[in-house]
Amino acid sequence: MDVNTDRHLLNVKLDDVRVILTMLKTIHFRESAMVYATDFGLKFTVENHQCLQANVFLQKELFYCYVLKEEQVSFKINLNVFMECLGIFGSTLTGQSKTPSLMMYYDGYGEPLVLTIEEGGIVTNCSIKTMDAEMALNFEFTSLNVENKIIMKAEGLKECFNEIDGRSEIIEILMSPDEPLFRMTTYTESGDNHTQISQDSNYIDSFNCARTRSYRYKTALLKPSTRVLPAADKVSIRTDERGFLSLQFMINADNIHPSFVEYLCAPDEDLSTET
Amino acid sequence: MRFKATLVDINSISFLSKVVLGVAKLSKSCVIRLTATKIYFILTQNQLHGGTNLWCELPQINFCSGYEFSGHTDRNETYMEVAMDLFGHALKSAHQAQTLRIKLTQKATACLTLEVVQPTLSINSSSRTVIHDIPIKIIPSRLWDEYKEPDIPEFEVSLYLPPLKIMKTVIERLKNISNALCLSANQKGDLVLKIKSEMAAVSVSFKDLMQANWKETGSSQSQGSMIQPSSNRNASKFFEVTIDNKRLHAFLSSIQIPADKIVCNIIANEAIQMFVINDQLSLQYTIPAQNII
Repeated sequence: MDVNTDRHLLNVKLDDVRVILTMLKTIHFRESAMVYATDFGLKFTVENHQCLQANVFLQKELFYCYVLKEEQVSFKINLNVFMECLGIFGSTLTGQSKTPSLMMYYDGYGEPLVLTIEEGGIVTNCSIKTMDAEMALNFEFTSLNVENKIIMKAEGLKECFNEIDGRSEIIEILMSPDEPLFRMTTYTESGDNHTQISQDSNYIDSFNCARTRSYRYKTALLKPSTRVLPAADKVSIRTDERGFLSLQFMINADNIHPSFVEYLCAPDEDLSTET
Repeated sequence: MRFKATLVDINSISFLSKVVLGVAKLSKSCVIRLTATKIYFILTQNQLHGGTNLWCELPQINFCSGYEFSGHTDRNETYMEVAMDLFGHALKSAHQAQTLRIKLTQKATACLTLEVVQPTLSINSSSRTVIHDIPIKIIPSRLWDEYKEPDIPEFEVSLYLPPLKIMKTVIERLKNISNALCLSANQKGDLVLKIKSEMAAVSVSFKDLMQANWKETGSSQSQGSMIQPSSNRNASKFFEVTIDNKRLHAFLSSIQIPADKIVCNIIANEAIQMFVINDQLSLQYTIPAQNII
């Protein structure tokens, strides 16, 4: 349809815009996001207070057309505006027969991100200003340094988050080779709350813990990750030797290609040294 | 001055309450005009407060089973200011009523009195009646002329808006980006909604919308003669008007009655005027152009 496909630096086409909308909703807790396009696909990154980083990976297989002229393209956009544009025809994944399709291109530094969303003959054109990409935080979280790792059904973690006391300033996460294997603890005036998942639980898929480790994280930082849980199938919870937490969620947004959302969170230092 | 309206079936009561709750969403207080045949809801905002204008007329025959009205002047009508939230609240309590009577009464102050007769719970018990008194302000006859039916100005384009559900979603999203909404339309049925903010420019294009035929719909309006859209212009020429999107959003979300179709007249650079097509009432709403400084 678009004769000038080759002209653009980055050009992607997607059958159902709601796939990307579902994914981005899971990290929409700040106003702006960094966008990185590579040969693997698109990555959206949102950061908070230099302590939390949330990434959405959209593999290029999700798109029926994915053309990238350079090795890597990066820019920053206003996520609020981007989300409003993507959701112009409504954002719910079910109950609609028509699906809005998306074409999106970017021409390089200083150029806007141009979206065309079409549904049932109604065409929406959006031109969103792009800003200079900032350097994303590098948490240096590598699988080599991972001490403990649990893969469980997302529902299990969702139930843990439901159980704990949200008023607590911190959440303590304990992972251990011995019982209790996985425990979340909150401390408030009304008491301490321990929520744990035992080894024989149906929620646990794989269990790989080397040492008993317990780290504390700011509730405010972990809270946004709960918005991924309803959409996610599985979650991999990992901590490394410094206490950094990685939560990787697998989402099947279009039922064919799994996509990933990752939350990286630094431990709450003051408190963890006390214990 | 006498006024008494009786509603006896649930559909009529819920219809009236939807109308009232809808108007209540747009303004706290509203002018109600009563005549022997119709009930009117009128909102006129002066330019300072936005200059929007609502004119809603309900022929009493469509929903009242009994209706009596006699005014005390030769014009046989009366105007009053009513707090719509109170009116709406009172009507909400009547959603299961057997009978609803609305009267004008003189208590400590002039009141619109709603008598809600609730259905009996068992055969033996007698029915229960709830009475709501809503204080009103009777508007003196010398001010009546301020609440005249708005004219239909000469418009450049008149077309049916896309389905309300789509319009609502789109307008809501656009509102979150910027408030100045530009409507641009031509006589071929193209409508483009445009907004522009520091961060983004968005345009939503609808095509093949039906043109309103004013010869046919003219009869449902209270005014007999309708102005024809100026012909012999280039049909694909676009005419634009920029309005405050908050007002359009408020209006669209206030529509609670089933609105199959909404006609929108575009008066270039001046205003948009919308007509909600419904069997039981006629409703028009005007939003003036926003002056961009």
